[in-house]
Amino acid sequence: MSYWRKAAVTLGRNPVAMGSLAFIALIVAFALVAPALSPYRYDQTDLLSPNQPPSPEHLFGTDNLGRDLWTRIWVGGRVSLLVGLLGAIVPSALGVVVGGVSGYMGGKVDMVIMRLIDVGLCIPQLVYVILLMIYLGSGPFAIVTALALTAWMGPARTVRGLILSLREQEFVLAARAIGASAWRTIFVHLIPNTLGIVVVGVTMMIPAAIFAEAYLSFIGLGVQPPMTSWGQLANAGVQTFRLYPLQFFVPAVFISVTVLAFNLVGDGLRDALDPRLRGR
Amino acid sequence: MLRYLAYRALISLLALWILATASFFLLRALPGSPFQTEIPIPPEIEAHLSHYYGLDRPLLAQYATYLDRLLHGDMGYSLKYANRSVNGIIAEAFPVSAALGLTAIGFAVPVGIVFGVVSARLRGQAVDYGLVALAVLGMSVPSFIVGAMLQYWFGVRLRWLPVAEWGSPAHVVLPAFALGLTMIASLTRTMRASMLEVVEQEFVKTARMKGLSEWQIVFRHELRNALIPIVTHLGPLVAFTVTGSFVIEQLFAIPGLGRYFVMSVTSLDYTTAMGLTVFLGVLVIAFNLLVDLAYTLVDPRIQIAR
Repeated sequence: MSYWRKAAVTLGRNPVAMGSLAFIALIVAFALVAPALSPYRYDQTDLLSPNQPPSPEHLFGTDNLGRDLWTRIWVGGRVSLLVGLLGAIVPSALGVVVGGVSGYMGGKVDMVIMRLIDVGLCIPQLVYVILLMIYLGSGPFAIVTALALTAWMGPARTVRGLILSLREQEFVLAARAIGASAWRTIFVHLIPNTLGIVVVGVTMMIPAAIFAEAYLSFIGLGVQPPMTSWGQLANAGVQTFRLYPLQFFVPAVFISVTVLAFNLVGDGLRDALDPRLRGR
Repeated sequence: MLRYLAYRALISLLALWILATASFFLLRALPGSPFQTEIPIPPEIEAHLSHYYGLDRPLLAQYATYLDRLLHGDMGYSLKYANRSVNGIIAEAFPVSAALGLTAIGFAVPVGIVFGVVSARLRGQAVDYGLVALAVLGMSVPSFIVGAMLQYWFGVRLRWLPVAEWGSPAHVVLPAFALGLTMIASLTRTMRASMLEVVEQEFVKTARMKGLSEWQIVFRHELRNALIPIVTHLGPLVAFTVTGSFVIEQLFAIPGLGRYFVMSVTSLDYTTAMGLTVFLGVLVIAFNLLVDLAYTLVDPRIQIAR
């Protein structure tokens, strides 16, 4: 059985991971469909019915401007999930390329890149991200860009380490012997062999990216109203939560449960994909 | 060893220089002026203020002055708070943040270690499952949500503790707990994994064969070895406390470094923002360096770059 088939079987036998995966699929489906089915727009205000409790018309009630919170939760979910996915995939992809090249080339190139990463990793990521956010402006794509510019270093270091041991193996020698270029050797022969661990890394990074969005929006640097995200909704909800605790609790629960599901899938994937942990 | 030390010191200095430079140019590249408020001020006054703070000089000259002053430990004056130096703001806010951060770390580290050890010793039992579930949950709930929930239950509903602000020891409890919970969760997981690894080692079998009691095995042999990964964990822990304080201090209206940092960045208070960036950078980088050193001291088996 191939590596990926075996991993899929291991994952399929893990009820916690599969349940979490189903839950994430459900959340994604609702985020995609629910806003279109809702009779309200996410930014449609109704000043005559602000801060309504949940009712059949407004399942999660309304906010201080009378906007329907059910619709806002799902539109916000689109933003939070998009930032979570792109904020994990883009930096990882960047890291794979840098780490792959660095590990394969070795020598001076590798030295310079690794020293740069040593320096870069000294500084807490959120400090860079906040400074970059001010420069890039607010909004989901600014967050993804800021994450891409700061979070590639960890994956680059991991992939470089893997490549260093892989490049000594015989299949690489064989590829070189038939005349494969360095480029081809890295991207066709070496990187595919690191993907298992990279995929685990991406899954582990999704919660971090969702957190980053929530943190930034919560301190007012991320997504700005009328656009929304789970972090922005939590920020808005916390202002009035003594009077209307539900406006805070609903986005808070959505963030926490979704991140929990991603963490559980990540744990399951790590058990399935990381050969170092196989059989433990 | 000495070479490694020199290398680490060099890397740390470079990181600081990059941080200082990046914060300078990123902040200055922004549109807008730190002197504009809700009430527009006349251009003459703004020009005068700019001149007063030296902001009308060429950018590179300003950068040179900034670096020169920084090397002398002078971070200049805030552009928002009249007559307050950045050094003064740090002197005032740092003890606040330190009290909060140390309380959080101080209770999270022992609790996390105990949870991890208990969980590993009782592997596969209900207590283990409970603690592992709690740890995963703790890592999934952002600290500001924990903080707001605590405010709501213990501050607003039960009225046991103050909801926000700073001043008495009672004010520290809720924010420190909110900051510490995530730490406990990640420490529990690290400690548990580390203990499970140590338990399988040969020397534990030897200790058991010698007829040592379980207590002696745990404390003399297993714990000492299992604690080593926790030392490396302390570096990220301080970084986490610093960045975690950005939201927690905002939420609890605590006049600490994190709150000043976020406020100064959003209000374009260049000098304060740059000064705090550098100060927080020094804090985290110095601590990471210390942890690296401690790591080699704690475990004589580790010898980095002889």
